[in-house]
Amino acid sequence: MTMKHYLVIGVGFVALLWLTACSSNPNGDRDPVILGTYSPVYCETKEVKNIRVMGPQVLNKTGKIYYKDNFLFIGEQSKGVHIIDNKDPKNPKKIAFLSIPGAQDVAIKGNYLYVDNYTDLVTLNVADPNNVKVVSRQENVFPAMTIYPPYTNIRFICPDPKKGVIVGWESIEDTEEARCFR
Amino acid sequence: MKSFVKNIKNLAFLALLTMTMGACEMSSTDMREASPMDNSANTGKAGSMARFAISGNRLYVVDDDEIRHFSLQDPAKPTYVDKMSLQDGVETIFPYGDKLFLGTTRGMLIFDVSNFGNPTFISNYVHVTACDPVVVQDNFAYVTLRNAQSCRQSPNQLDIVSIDNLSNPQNVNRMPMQNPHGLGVEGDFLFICEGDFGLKAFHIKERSRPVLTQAITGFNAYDLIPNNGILMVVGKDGFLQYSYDINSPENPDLRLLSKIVKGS
Repeated sequence: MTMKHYLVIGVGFVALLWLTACSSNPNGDRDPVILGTYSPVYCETKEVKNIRVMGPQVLNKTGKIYYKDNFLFIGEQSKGVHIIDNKDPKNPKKIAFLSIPGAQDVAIKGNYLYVDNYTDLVTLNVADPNNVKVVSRQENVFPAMTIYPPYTNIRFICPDPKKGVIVGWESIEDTEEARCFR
Repeated sequence: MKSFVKNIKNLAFLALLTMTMGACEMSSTDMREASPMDNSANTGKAGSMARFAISGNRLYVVDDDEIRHFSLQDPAKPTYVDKMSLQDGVETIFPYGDKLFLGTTRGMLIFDVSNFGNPTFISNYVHVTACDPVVVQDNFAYVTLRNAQSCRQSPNQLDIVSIDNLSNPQNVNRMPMQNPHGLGVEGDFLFICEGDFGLKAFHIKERSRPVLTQAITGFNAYDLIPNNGILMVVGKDGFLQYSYDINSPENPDLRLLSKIVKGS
């Protein structure tokens, strides 16, 4: 979906509202219910591809999980991946955090972990989970997923590419600035 | 790998034969080792909410209305092969043998990837609009349907779908749930995350008839991975692990082993 699509959707929606407003509406048809309003959260473009291997971090907004050979990979939504040494399930140990902006999913084959970094697919060598290394990056293989909030029947502030890459959406009070609709 | 269906049928037949011969103590571990999952022995286990799946030498990635695939011929440097447009609302992907099962807001899509890894559409199991991951074992798919804002109005339920005939998946059973999210299946065990309602364990000695064996509440469960007696669970409250008795599906005796709570 491009900005053009949103404009079309937005204009279409306004037209629909107008048409509905002008009809006598004898059957009691209702306007679409607006369930929320969202504002984009931006990240500077140069920060977006900055993948860092860090020490253990606090679990916050945990996402998906992946398990291989006594190690567990827990997603931190849109931020990265916690690596947990789970040799002793009574005492799991956080050993590292992979800071990967936009990360949602991982999969592992052999020594390699594949992860999404917004529009890119990044490959990391995890043969030694204590010493993870980035080995390759395939650019622009995924669509920019976050150009709209992942909900429907909502209003949102239309994205402005000049402000950077959208890294998330936050719920806000309804505002006239929210001219896009989904 | 010529015919996955043939494989699972043979396996099911073998399993049945073995069981009728009186080997009732055959553990789930044995079942798993004999399963057609062996072709991906070098990959890990994903939770059911995954949008990434590896089957053979391909990485499959789904987004809302597309499936992309990458060749892992050189595993250090995946290469983009192709993509295919799908109906929108695709949420999850589960690889099983040389088939892919996609959970979508309107149903479950089944693809075959035996042709050099290129996905070929087989069928669509249609249900009401709902959020729904899917897991598969033997000839059955377990599909959870959840009512959520992003999935409009729907019942909360578990659909058990026979995939005996992959071209014509059939609903064979249905159970009400509270707020089902991720789920996992392993041998005679089925575990389902119930969101704010915690976690439920079922035995599926009869695959189409899950029987509730244990429910644990008091935390939020989003997705899970069962692995040989250890159940790893993730949710809004953090990460929890339970042990379960791999030899007694009827009484799994889930016990909390450890947790890493949110904020720590």
